[in-house]
Amino acid sequence: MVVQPPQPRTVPRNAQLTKADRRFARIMTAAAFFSLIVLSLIAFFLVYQSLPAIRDQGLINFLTGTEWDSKTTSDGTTTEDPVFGVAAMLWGTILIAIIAIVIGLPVSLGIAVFIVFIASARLATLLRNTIDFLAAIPSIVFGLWAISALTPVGKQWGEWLTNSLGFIPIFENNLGIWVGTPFIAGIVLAVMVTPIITSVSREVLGRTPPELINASQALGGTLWPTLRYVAFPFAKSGIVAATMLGLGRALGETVAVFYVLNLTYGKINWYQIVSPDGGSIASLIVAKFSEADPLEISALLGGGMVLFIITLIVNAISTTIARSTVKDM
Amino acid sequence: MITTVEAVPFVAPKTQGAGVPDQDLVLASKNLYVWFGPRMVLADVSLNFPKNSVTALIGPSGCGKSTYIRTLNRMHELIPSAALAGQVIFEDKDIYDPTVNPVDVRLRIGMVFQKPNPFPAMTIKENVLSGLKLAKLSNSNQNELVEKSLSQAGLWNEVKDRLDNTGGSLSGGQQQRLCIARSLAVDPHVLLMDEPCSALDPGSTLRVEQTIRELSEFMTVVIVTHNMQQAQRVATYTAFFLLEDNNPGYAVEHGPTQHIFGNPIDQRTSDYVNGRFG
Ligand SMILES: Nc1ncnc2c1ncn2[C@@H]1O[C@H](COP(=O)(O)OP(=O)(O)OP(=O)(O)O)[C@@H](O)[C@H]1O
Ligand SMILES: [Mg+2]
Repeated sequence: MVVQPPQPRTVPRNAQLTKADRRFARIMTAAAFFSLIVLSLIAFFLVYQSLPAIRDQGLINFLTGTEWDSKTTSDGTTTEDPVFGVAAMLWGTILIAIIAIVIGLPVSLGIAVFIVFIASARLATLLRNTIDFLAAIPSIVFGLWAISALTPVGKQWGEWLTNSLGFIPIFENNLGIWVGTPFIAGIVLAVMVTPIITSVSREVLGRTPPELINASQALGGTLWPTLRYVAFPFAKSGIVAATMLGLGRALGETVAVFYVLNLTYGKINWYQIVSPDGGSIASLIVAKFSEADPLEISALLGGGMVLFIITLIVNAISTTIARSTVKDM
Repeated sequence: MITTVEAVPFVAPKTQGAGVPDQDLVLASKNLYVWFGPRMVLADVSLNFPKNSVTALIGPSGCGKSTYIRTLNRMHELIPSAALAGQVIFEDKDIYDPTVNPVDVRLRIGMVFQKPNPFPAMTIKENVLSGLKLAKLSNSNQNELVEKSLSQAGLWNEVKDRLDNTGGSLSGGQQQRLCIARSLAVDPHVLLMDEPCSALDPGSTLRVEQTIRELSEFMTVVIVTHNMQQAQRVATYTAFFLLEDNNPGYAVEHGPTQHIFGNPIDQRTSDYVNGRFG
């Protein structure tokens, strides 16, 4: 006898939900869509508002130019065509963010390891609270601290770096001025990203399964080998995500950087981190916004759009890395 | 950190039974007392483990079998509140002597845990060799070591074609034998096993038991088990642990496995091995 195989029965996807569950799910779905809508609106707003400037300058010039000058004198008269190029500010933003991560990541990992694997329970709690407190400090406070306390010290460190390691190109300084450098801005940002990176790393390192740590110890593994071969591989994707979060904060930070960084237009400072030639899109916006005419405002919003895109790219990279490391496991 | 506490005056019940001969011992605990914080969980445990024997530790839950086995390779002291008194003699030397490096102890006295715990980010081969990396040892012929260890653990034929897959791709029983191979790769003289089969199906359990019997031809095995049949199948000697009321746990009876199961001296041993309590 030939039988027809039965059709699989369909079970409604939310059959297990109660009425209250369903209402909750609807609200959550709406919230998720709302955030998407807000994000697209921001993107749309930025593109729309920056179009006049980009049309005026040309997209290529806007992205590769280093000058930023409205050519407007103090009495409001315009003599020449304005030039707006974000390249120097864009690279400056990336440079100080890299410095922040290079300094902040090892420090954060060190603190996280200490909290999870070394400190006594009481010291661990104290440190955790201190770090979380650091995360809650408004960035204006960091800015004030940076200008009053950090800059004098950072200046000496920069001078020392040039004098003793100046043969390495990144520590070159031809101006004899060591304030307002990307190095100092990077340190401020490092302090600001440390709480985020520490918290997330601490969380993921703390989730290393105890049976894996036991296994390592039973094989004669002391602290460092256990970290290197067991805990870090396990926490890898979380640490990458933490770093990207930190990078996101470093890229977008405004006030603290604005206080300590000297913005230099007209050239890109590719690598001389202890030279007083910096760039930062966020600081550029703060510096120029209040006195800008409509075209310059449009150009500043174009800078904002570039920053927005960079942040999206950073996030996309971090998601990809996190996903691929999860697959490895 | 370990704080070695002096044993306070304490009337500890004597361990009964035929015991095991005093000669040819690889490992022995002498008057071992163990604490977690202020709470004494084991009192006056003195047991002998002769060369190339398998000893089963049995007893009801919470009587301190895992705690005891962890004192035998200095894993116990890794718990912050842990303390102990007494001695563990391994190859004629007290492993708690201040001159002894705990890492060396753990390399010579390996451990296999209840839940199979291969390193998830490593391949089968890397898992076997992980002890070398973790303890910073060198080995010139890694492929040979991988094959030897996996063969001793009875896993070689099943995995020889997929050494580069992750440990997680194996079945639970295979994972446990991988963990055994991983311990064997650093060449221990003693293998401690804490309920190694309790997460496994009957078939895998028998497979691991066979591995244990093969290992006992050249090494000493101590195995904690809740499975009375398993103890009788694999163990030359058996020690019965018990915890009564609020007293610390201790070893009630110790002797050849046939004695413990066939004609135990202590009534409580008899009750336990016959399933009358526990
Ligand atoms: N980390 C710890 N801190 C404090 N007390 C502990 C700790 N580990 C175990 N204990 C206590 O020590 C006693 C012995 O525990 P242990 O795990 O050795 O028992 P066990 O005989 O292995 O039990 P089971 O058969 O259930 O595995 C128990 O009373 C337990 O509560
Ligand atoms: Mg146990």
